[in-house]
Amino acid sequence: MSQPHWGWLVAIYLFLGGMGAGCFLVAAAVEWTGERYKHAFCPTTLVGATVPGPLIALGTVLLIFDLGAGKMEPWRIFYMFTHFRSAMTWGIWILTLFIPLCFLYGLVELMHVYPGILAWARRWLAFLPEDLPYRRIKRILCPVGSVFAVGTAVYTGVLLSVVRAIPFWNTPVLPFLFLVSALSTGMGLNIDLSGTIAVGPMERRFRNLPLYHMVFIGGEALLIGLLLLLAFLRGGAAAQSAQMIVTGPTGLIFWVVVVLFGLLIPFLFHAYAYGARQHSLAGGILSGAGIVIAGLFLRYLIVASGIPVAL
Amino acid sequence: MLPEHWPRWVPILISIFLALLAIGLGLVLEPAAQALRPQPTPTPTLPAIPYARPLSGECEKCHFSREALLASGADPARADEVLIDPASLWTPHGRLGCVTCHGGKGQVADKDQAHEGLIQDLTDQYPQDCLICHRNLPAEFPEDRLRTPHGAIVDAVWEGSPCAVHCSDCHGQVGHGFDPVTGRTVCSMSVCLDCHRERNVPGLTDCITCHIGPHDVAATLDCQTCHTSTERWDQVALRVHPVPLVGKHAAIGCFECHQWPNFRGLDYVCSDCHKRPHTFGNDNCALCHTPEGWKSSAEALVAAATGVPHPVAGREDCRACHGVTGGTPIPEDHKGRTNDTCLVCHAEAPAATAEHPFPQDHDGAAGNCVLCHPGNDFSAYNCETCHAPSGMAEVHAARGISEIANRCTLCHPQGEKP
Repeated sequence: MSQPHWGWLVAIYLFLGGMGAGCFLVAAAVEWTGERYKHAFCPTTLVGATVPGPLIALGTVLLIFDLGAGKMEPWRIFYMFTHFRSAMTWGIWILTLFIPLCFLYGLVELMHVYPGILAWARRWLAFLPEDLPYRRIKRILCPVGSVFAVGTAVYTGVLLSVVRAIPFWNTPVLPFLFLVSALSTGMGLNIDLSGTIAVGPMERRFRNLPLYHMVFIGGEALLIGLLLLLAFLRGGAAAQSAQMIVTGPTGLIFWVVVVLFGLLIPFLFHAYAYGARQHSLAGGILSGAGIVIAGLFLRYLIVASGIPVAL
Repeated sequence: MLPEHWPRWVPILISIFLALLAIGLGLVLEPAAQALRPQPTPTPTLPAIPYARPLSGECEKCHFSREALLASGADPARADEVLIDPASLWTPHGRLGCVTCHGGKGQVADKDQAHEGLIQDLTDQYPQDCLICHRNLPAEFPEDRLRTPHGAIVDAVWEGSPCAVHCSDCHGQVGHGFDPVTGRTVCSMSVCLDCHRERNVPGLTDCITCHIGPHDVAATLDCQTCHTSTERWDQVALRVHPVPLVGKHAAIGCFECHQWPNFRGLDYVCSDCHKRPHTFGNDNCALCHTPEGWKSSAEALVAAATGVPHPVAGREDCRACHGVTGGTPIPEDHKGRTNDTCLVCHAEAPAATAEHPFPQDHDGAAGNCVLCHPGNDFSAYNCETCHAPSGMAEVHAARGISEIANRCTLCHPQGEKP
């Protein structure tokens, strides 16, 4: 019997948290390397700075509501801040610090792109200076936020991996898988989808971009394989979970949505793009959509297939 | 690509829209995914277990210390019954905290208030709480060859039916040291039997109610035919056995000879288990050996054997002379022994006796002992095989010689004529 307690809400939270963190890391990398300033408009940093905040906040709300007490007694969430031996407490602190940081980074990036915002704000907040050193502010925000972004992405895996009662989750592979998947889905949304829609094929701007994509997609595939292999080797409930994913009723979702559309097609697409130095608009969007949707379903499959040990 | 005149913030909305679209897609597909997902077995609504270790501090202050218990007014004669080993906190159940199972108010210092709503035995009053975690209780323990009544008990608990057995009856005080989950504690069957007798549980005499016997011999044997103890399986009495088990055979386990688990594979001959370490003889080991001791019994035979009173050279075929009948037959208990075993026990006589006092080739005798020693009786000789007594008496009488019986060699030491 798979665990009946966590379902789509938790899977969506894990997905939004991971993808938001991945978007932030992509934007921070582009900002930190100065690539952002090589073009008049950089959709990667704009999206990567502004989107993570709302996505992660939405996911966190879903998580709170998934907990029974979140609906009935939401104030009990504050108890979670003081139980430092619990992974949830680590996570709640990471999210509490990271979400405002995301919104701050998004606001700074928006103000950088739209200087009129600062002028508008000065009508109400007269103490604000006429101009702000946006680039210097972001050079502080990005590395600090990146630490929390990695923490958020890893934490989504730690949240599951500390559950000893479910052997399939209880493995150090999961945090690494969710981190790599976060980066992959972040690039999928931020670059393949948004960037391609906004300014066309992104390989023109980031020459080695397909290579990075291939590394992350390949790494994700290896970690998924390792997760399943270790589960099969452990036997028992872990093997049952892995079997449920691979050959069970959800096997079709795993092989078609996750493996084919989320890993294989995007990998081949980016391999072609790297070799040919070009790709079609539709190819980029299809690749991005596959990666993003697969990221959601990967987490759903892992959550849904958790089979607890029988006592 | 977006048109140039579109605002730059449009990609933000597009990204959020696409993320939400992915979620929407997932949620739309959820019914399909749920339909594909294995449906968990519906279980009754479970009461929530309070994770109450931090809420049990006042319980620990008293119940971890005998002095504190006595100071709180506990009956000295019964204080030890409620004294709890602090190490029990580190058992799986102890980690849940006292109030999880025993109720009460674990953060209240006042004894009477703290004990309000106290639950003495959770498994008696709220047995369904145990089933929150212990959902898939096994019907059998194959490694211990035991059947359990878990199914009937769990059904009764969920149905709210009266049940004479509680979890703690068998599993003891799980939060306080005795932790059957670890498998380190093994109960004697007497514990089960005593409890069953107290409660008049039927089927006490039927071993298979609880035990999964490994032997497929139920058609011919009962467990009690061999097993005599309720404490240990290996205490057996050999009330039935095709051959008597004596000597060392009585001291070994059944399956040192028989094949586990169904006693098959034996022809009840020595070679079932023993390998003949010598080349002489045959597989009928019992001709020389007994179960009292393989080596000792053979050595006793050797020690008791007489020596061969005649030269062996040229007479290796012992049975040619020592048949089952005749002058010097083999003893009754030697029947079945083969020719090549004689000299294993019977050593050749010393060389001194081997100097024959009479020519062995006397008049064509050619070493044929029985001509002079009928029946291979070497204690005497007899010339009458060839020299008829009547003829000899007549010849000697003609020469005035009488009293010749058994005196031939006095005058004919080399068998010569005078």
